[in-house]
Amino acid sequence: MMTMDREFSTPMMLQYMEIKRQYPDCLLFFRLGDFYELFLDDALIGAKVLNITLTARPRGKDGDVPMAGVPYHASEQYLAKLVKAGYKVAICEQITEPDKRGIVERAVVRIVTPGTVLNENSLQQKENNHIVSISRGEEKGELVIALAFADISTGSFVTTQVTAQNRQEFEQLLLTELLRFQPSECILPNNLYNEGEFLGLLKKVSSLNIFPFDQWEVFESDAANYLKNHFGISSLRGFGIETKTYAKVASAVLLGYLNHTQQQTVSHIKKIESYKPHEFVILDRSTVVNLELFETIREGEKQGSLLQVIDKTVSAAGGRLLKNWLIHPLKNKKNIEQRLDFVEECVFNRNLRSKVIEELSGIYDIERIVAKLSVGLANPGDLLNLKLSLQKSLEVKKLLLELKNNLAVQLSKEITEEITVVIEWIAKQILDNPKIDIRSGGIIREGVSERLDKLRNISGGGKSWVKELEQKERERTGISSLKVKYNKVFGYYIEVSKANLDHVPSDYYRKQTLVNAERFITDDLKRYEDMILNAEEEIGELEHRLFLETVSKVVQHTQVLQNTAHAMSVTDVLSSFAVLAQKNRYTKPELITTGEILIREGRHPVVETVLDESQFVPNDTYLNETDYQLLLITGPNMAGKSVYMRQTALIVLLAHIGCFVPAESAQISLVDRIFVRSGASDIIASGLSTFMVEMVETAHILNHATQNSLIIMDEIGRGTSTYDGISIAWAVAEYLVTSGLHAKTLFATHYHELQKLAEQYPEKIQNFQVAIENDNGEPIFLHKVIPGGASHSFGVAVAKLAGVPEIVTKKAVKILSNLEKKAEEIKGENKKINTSDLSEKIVADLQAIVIERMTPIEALQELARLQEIASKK
Amino acid sequence: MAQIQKLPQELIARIAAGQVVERPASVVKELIENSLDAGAKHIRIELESAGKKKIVVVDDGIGMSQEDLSLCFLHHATSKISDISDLLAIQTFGFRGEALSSMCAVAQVRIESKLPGSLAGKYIEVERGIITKTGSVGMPTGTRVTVSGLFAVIPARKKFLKSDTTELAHCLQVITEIALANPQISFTVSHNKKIVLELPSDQTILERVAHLLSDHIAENLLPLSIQSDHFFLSGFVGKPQIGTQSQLRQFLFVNKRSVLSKEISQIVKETFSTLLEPRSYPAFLFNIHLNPELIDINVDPQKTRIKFLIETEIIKELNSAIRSVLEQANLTYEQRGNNGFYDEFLMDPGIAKLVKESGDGWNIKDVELATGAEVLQIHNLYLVTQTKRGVLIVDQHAAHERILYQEFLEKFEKERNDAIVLSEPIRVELPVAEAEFLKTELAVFSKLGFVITEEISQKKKDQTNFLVKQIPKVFKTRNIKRLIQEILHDSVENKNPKELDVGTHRTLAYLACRTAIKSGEKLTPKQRKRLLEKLQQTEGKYTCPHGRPVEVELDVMYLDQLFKRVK
Repeated sequence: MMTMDREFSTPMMLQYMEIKRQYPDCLLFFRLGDFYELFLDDALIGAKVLNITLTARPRGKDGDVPMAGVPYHASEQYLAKLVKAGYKVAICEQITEPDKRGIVERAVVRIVTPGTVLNENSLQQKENNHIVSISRGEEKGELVIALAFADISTGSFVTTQVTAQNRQEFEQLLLTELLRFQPSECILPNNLYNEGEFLGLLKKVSSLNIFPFDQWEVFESDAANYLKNHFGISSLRGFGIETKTYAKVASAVLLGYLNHTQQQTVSHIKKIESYKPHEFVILDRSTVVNLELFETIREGEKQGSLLQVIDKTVSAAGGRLLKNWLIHPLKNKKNIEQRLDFVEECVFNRNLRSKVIEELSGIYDIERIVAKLSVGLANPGDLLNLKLSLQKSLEVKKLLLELKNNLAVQLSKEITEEITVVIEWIAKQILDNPKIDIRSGGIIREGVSERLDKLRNISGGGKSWVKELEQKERERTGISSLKVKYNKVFGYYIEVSKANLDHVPSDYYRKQTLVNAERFITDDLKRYEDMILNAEEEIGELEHRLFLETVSKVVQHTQVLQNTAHAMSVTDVLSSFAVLAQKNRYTKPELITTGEILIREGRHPVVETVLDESQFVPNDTYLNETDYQLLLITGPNMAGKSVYMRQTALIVLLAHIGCFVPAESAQISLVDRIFVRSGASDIIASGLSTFMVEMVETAHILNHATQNSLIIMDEIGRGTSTYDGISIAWAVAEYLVTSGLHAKTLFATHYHELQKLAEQYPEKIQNFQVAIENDNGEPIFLHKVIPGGASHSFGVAVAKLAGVPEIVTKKAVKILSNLEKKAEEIKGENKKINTSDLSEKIVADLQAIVIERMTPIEALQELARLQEIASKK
Repeated sequence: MAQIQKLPQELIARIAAGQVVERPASVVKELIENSLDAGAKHIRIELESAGKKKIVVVDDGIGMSQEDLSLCFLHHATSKISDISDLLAIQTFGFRGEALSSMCAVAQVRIESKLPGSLAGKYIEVERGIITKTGSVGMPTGTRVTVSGLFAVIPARKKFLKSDTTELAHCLQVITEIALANPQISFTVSHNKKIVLELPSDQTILERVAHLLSDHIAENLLPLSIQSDHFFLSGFVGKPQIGTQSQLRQFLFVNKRSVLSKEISQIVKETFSTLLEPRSYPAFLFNIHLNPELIDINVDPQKTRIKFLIETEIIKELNSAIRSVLEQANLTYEQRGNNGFYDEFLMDPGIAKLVKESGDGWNIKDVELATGAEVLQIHNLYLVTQTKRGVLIVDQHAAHERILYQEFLEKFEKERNDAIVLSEPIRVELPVAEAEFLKTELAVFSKLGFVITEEISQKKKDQTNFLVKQIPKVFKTRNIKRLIQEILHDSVENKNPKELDVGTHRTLAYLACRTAIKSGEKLTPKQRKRLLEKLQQTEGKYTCPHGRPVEVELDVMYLDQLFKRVK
């Protein structure tokens, strides 16, 4: 392995090493002519990740230097690959024109990192790309954590600062917030980066690239002033972070990092929004995963997720906002109702809605265009797309004004007349079909610059001048086949065929000899050629300058452009809710304050769309804070308990984002958290045992649920032995109704013993079951949730349905009947598990063993297990 | 030789079923109508291989009880009528109790149904008319019927089915009709698991038309409504430009049932008359509501044809309503000159006169030529002469064109009844389906002057050929095989044979145009006079066959005004 310490002596390699030393954590894309080259260790990485050839080129006295390169015009896709693989890349350009003296100067013009990439190949249209900085500290003996999130591609910047009582809460808070934004990159101060435990925690967040930021302390020390300078304000009070030390640090450092990567000020970041996690309904990681909001548990695919079913947005920004809303459900009744009223009006006013959608679907990604304009990565086409989008925004504004609801009025105000200035400005400056390359002309309209028009006349007039010259020279020399031509190598020349060479006058200078012709130039021609070429060069430069001027004028309106983009995406999401409501027959939920949840004929939004052969059976849900606080749902696996509980959670969630819900009618009291605890398989990879994870999550719920929370507990206690499981489930259910939490709970279990709880707490708990019809021992699942407890598990029948061999199921039936004969019911919370129960269990287990089917090892293991049970006596 | 014997019951059932269940589309239609009768708000239709393999119709209607389920597939079992008085007042779509039983005879049928308040749904499976399985099932309220392996037990019938494309088109046509009649109901249709149609609930009729047919059609409909003593009609007629060569854009719903009525199609076409291109049919969509006792729908097993007991009243009202809608729609002479509708469609002299009379710019009076007046020719195009009332200006080309057209038409009318016996009969081979049609339509052909006989094909025993032995004289130059197919299609679509004339209208008009005196031809005074005289005797002299004016008369009063002799 070669090292970066290698000594070099050629000027180029010296220059390379000098620059590389400044960006040790980046791969250096070193511009050499038409290529970006990677050298040394970078070359090894690049060759491997990009699957390009590694060469070892001799560099004079320096000997062989490993090198791998990509052509500059195709660099975007290679950059995207490297960034996706989690590398940071510093782009080093030639900043002077090459001439004979010495080597050209080079400098890094921007750094591309996973969280700051602006290249379209790396960004998903309907997804934000967040970067986060994390700052940690202590205040009054409590742990404080601050996070700042930015999406440089849209200009959004938010921060929060929270305190935690203990380490566990700290971790939970951190993970929940990271989950909200799903950042692709995280920057940390060196001390945190070197803290193994902390790093391990962050590594739980999938696809997060974690980097230390060397200049952390620089920005930390003067955080407040740095922020004030950037935003041009004298106080941070407006942002709500004036007194929040750590939020200020996280924000300042993040902003500093963004400026550092772009090698310029990210001026399109116009404000910081601070939020408190409790402003929104909190969805924990396990809730997000188990409700399959963004991807399915099993395959991790978007197809089959809630988002995929409800996303009818037509613009990229709308798609991003919907995702954002889904993870930030509102808690303010008025705000939710505003959204619902908008949706309702769109449901009924179909004509208007379809007009709105037609306009919206023609809109480009205004947020991202503005970002590109701000950091100088935009091309003239982007400006035209912006213009078109703004024109459509004005159409949408008109349509919004036809709507009666408050939100529509507010949104229409966000689209101000100021954008007509931008539209007109772009229209005035930029040609209808501009060239995409910003350096070679063909961008700016006639009449914008006198000088430009003059230069264009000169270069355009060239053609007629050439024609005239040709005519003149033909007459003068008498050579009728004489031609004035142009090529890239020789410029303008006069071509005379071999036969006519005698007539060539003396003021022709020979330039090139071909097989049957010779090419000449004259002083006149040379002068004219210079003039034209100079003009063209100047046109290129002038148009580039005028383009940059146009951009900078547009960028002055960033705030109003971002407001417009916001209004457009809100309109998109809300009108898409109306489309969804009509298409999937959703109804408007009514928000109530009685603490009840009342859903009639509710459906699971995702399952109802995928069921094919069988049909989805709708179910009612009723929960309140008293006698229906906890619904204990029993019934065999496959009966639909999980779907039922999840559908309730999803309907409640959808109501909180202002979306109509899949039900005949729904009355929803607002909640502060939704917990979904389930024996899902996603945690196996984390290394913890299933049971451990289950208990950690249970503890989390019991510690954090409030009177206004909605809890879904699916098969708690499944990960341990039956008696353990029953006992834990029992205790947890009892705690939920006795501890004063009053959280509305759907509690599913296949331990029928728990049904006794309802007798014990009739003022709190109701038994429900999923209806089964018994057809000669074969269960027919009716998928209908009805009052009462289930009496039969049909476990063996289900096993049979699943194709378990008959010899096994028959044996199971025998064991079951033995157990049922002997089993004693658990009577109360203080009932002790006595030793005779254990003996019976051991006997039953022994009977169940089929020795001839066991390997010796398995037999030994079984023996050990039995001994362990026996030793508990 | 086999002896004649009584058919087994099962076979009789199958043959009878074929009368109701003709193709997948008929199953689809029956099932959807059952769903509508059950008060469904949302109906889902799933087809596999255009319904040949499987048809599933799911609704959210009121469902059936177990007892109903085990009875519903029996022959003549229905919940919809119970005695003869009910039959006179049928409000529901199904009524004869034949639909499900017919399906059960020719396919495997599974019916699942749940009543509103009950916990479980019940299902039965029936094959060849016999229950093979029953039980409970978890399902939402409503009914789901699965019909698979249609005609698997009747290979001959199965062979009769056409390609997937064709059968699917038939299914979609049926669904389109029903969906248009019920814009408040949502429909989802999938074919081979892919959604092909998704109609949301509570659409307006125009939204539904736009969704199902096209925006273009929806934008070109003229609303129409009639409130009369015995019926209420609402709906639309299409502007002439959305007329088509087939009757696929004609929708008639009587009490929400999609039906065919020869009489109504006829009267619409007649009212439009030559506003339309020859051989094209005006688009319309009518919802007629009337007392069910005033209609007879029990006409044929397809129950698509309907008889009105108040036919005259409907026809009369419809005729005048369409007329006034067409007139109000500014389809008249305002468009003269800007080659819109007027030039393109105004072909029939009668309707041209009608339409023109409605616009006040035109005054059609009978022209009386002044006796012995000179006829001048100006610009070798216009003839000018004096009339009793003023001055007459005539376009010589248009005039001659009209005269010739009228002559050709008369000749055609006369010759159509003259038949030629072909010295050598023409053999026509037809696809099985069309041959079946021709057999039933032979009587119509003989009315037209054809003599056609059947001949068993030597090559394929199950195929019938036809020998054409005699044809009407007017058709002697035409491709007989093609002609027969055309007439066949016409009769399939219930066209009145009389309308065959319209098919030749264009040819005659073209002929007249080509043979007539051109603009720029110098005429002798005698020719001019003859032309004018002949024109005055010609029917429909006001327009040429393409609809342009032939003559304009300027009143002396008008001339006086021009010269300020009067005020």
